[in-house]
Formats: sequence, C-alpha cells, structure tokens
Amino acid sequence: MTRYAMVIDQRRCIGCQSCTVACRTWNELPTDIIYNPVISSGVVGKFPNVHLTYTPELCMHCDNPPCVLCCPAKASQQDNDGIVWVDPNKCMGCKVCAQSCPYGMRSMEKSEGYIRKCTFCKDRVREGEQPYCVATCHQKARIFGDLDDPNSEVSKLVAKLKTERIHEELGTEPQVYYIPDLGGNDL
Amino acid sequence: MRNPVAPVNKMSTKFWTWPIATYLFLGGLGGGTIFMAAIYFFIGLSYEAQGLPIEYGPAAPLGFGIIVGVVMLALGCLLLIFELGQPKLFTRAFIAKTAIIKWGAVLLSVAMICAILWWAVYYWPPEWNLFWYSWTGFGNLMAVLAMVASMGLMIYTGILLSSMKSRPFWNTPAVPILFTISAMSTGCVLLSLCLHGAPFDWWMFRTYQESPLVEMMLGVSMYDYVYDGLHQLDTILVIAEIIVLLLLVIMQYSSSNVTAKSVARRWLAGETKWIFWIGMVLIGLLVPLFCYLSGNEMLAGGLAPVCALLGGLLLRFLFVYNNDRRGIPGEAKYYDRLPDKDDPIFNPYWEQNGSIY
Repeated sequence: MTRYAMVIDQRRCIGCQSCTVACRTWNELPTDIIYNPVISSGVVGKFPNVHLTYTPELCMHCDNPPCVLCCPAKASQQDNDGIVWVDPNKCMGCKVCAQSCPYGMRSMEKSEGYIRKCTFCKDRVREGEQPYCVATCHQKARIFGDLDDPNSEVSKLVAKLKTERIHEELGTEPQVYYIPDLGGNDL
Repeated sequence: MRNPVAPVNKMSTKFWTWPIATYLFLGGLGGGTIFMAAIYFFIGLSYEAQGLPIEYGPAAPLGFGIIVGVVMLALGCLLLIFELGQPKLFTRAFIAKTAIIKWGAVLLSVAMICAILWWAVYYWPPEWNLFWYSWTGFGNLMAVLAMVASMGLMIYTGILLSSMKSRPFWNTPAVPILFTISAMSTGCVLLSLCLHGAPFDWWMFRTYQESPLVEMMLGVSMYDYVYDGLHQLDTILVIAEIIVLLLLVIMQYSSSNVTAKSVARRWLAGETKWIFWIGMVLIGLLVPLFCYLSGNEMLAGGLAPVCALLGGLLLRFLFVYNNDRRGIPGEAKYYDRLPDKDDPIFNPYWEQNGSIY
C-alpha cells in the first residue's frame, strides 16, 4: 500500500520562499490564500554566533485528520494513499474543518464558497511527478515519497535520522516530518 | 514577547463570525426554552394524574413559549445556512455520522418538528376543534422527543466548540457545561417572558384557564406557580454559571498552554476585559441575580430576563471571536508581514492581472 509523506530538511532550507511562489502559481491561488508559508522565529543567538532556521509549513496530510472526521458533508476526505483533499462540489462551506485544523492549513475564498487546501499536488503525483513545491526546491530541502516503500528516500530518512512533527501531541499523526536544524550543527 | 498566534486579520483566521455566534446562542436558547417547557408540561401531566385537569395545571400556559422556542431554533437554522459558503448545499449537513455538526442538524430538526407536533396536539386553537385533539399519547411522545432533542441541543453547542483540539481555550470539558447551564438559564427567562403573553390566550392557550379552586389550594395562580418556579430555577442556574465561568477562565489563565493563557488574559485584563467584566459578568449574570434576590417584581420580571439574554449572547460572541489556534513559532511574524486583502497599494496590482501567468 502507498502512504505518501514529506520530509523537510530544515538544515537545507534557506527561506527563499520559492516553494510558496511555485505553489501559488501551480494552484492559481487567490490573493490571500497560501498553502505553504515558510515561517521563522527569527535570528537566535548572539553575534557572531547567530543562527536562523526556517520552517516550511503545509497541510500535514495526517493519518488521523480531525478535518475529515468533523466534515458533515463528506467533502473533506482522505484517499487510501493518505492524501487529504476537499471536493468543491460537496463542500457546503461550513468552515468547521478550518476551525478544527491545528495547523491552520485550510482557507476559504468568500467568492468561491468552498474550502481550499494543499493536496500534495495529487494530479501531478498520480502521473508519477513530484508535488510542485518539491520539484521547485533547488536546495532539495523537500523530499516526497511513499513511506510504506522501505527503499524510498523518505522511508530511509525517517528511519535513519531524528525527525520531528508539528503538534504531534494532539494525536493527529501528521505525515510531514522535519529534520531539525540544530543551530547549525549537523546531526 | 510576541503572541505566537497568527493575527486575526490575516489568512482568514476568523472563519466563524457573528452568524455562528448568534446561531449558537439561538440554538441554546430555543433548546433551553423547549426543554423547560417540557419539564413543566410533564409536571402538569403528573398533576393531571392526581386529578387536576390539564387546563388548570402547570402545562396549561406553555403554548406560546413552545412556539417562541421553535421560532428561535428556526432563526438559528437560517443564520447557519446564511453563513455557509454554498448555502444551496445545506442538505449535505446530514451526511457524515462522525461529524458533530451533523448531530446538531439532526437534533435541531427533531426538536423543531416534535415541538410543533406536541404543540399542535395540546395547544392548537380550540375553535378549530381538530381531530388530533384526542391524540394525547402521540402528543406526550412528541413532548418526550422534543425534550430529549432540546437537551441534546443545549449540550451540543458547547461540545461543538470543545471538540476542537486546535483551539486550546475551547478544548476543555468546562465549555459544554457552561454552555448547557447558560442555555438552560436563557431558556428559563425566555419561557418566563413568554408567560407574560398569557393575556393573549386567544389562540395559543387552548387549555389555559384560571381556576379559583386551584388558586385557593396553591395560594397562587398556576401562571404565577410556573413563573415563580422558573425564576427560582434561574437564580440557581445564574449562580452555577458564575461559578463555572470564573472557574473556566481562571483555570485557563493558569494553564500551561500559551494560547489558552493568552485568551484568558485578554478576557480578564486585556482588550476584551470590559466586554467580559461589565457585559458578561456584571450585566449578564450579577444584575439578573440581584434582580431575583431583590424580590422586586418589576426587576425580576423585566430587567433580569433582558440582561440574562444579553449575557448569553455575549458569552457566545466572546467564545466565537476568541478562537485562537495553537501557535507555531514564527507564524505571527510571517502573517504580520503579509498585506491585507484590501491593501490599497498591493491589491490593485494583483487584481489587475487576475492571474500571475
């Protein structure tokens, strides 16, 4: 069985926002909707020992997605390969999924009336391509693949390196793994 | 230190606004009114079993209150549909059994339909002399179903918010308790206000008749018996609400969760402190309590219900508008730097091209 997941190597991310722009381009997003912001807490440390870490965010395509369970219209759904997406023809726009997402990764354009979110570029992925943000990342900070395939790069990275997940304590089982940048020190 | 939570005006953090806050209020209010009416209806039936005809008992003056409760629920439904992004798809609210909103929609429908049928059997205009007047068993069944559904509704509005792990201030068992008590309290005052409509008993009070004999036995008229009972019950509910509300806010203020703590601080001493202390606690809870305890009929019957209803509405608005999400370090800074959607410089350039292709 396939289980798509993403590994984000924070040691490699330089915060160029290419993935954000690429995503907006590919998905033709409205002005105020961003699927994958690249955030940072800012500079830490004291000169000359300063450091900056970036955290690219996106939908975590959780194994236990609260947004799917709370959708009364069955518009918010999860495929067998783990991709969480919203069917605009079924979404009535009650926004309960957006309220329940702990990552704030759902938004709605008022004129459209339905919820939008990252789909791991499922149209591209099912044609054997990488999500657009992954294909665009020139630092190779984003790695995408099948977590159930032991030979995939994501499987090897998750097995080999210490990874972190955002808000793991909530039990949502997010499927975006972060390789933390430990203040410039390699793992 | 920066608030780690994304600011309210960026990335549509405020998904739910006034229609949902009002819907939560009306849902609780309508549910509470029907629930309290059902309680007194069954007390009335027990009196009937002891030989007091129903048209003289506590069930008699409730007809107007039941209809007003149903109207509140219907208004809530309309607001809920109005708030939807695609209102024409509203029937999809009933599809997924795992969704709390689905159960809310079911409870809302059952409470409204059963309350109308219950009202039709017991309180329909007498001059029409319709065939279902004798269906008392069916009317009682509808009253039971309406009572159960309206009780579910009162609890549901709080469960809807408290089920969200993403919103730490909501995600506590105290929220459904608070919302249930508030719904019962507002239901009590609305029903007591509807009893003031008793003089208009020309069509909604088929069974209501004053009886000097009953008055002599009880010392008060049946109208006053129900009215005083509702006020006594509401006094207890208001005290309980003050305790639960303060416990909730203090508990969240001392919480280890940064987001919950920041909301509690905002309520107690931050930007919404006046709405909380003056609007919610003083006007919404302490003034009604004082009115009830004063024993003054004008205060208890006129000022207290208005203040209690305002307090219930403010409670829902305070909760819905303080929906801070669990923060991720750096988010606030990122969204702070984005232009507003209606930014006068940025937006025209973006809209000019329509698409960035």
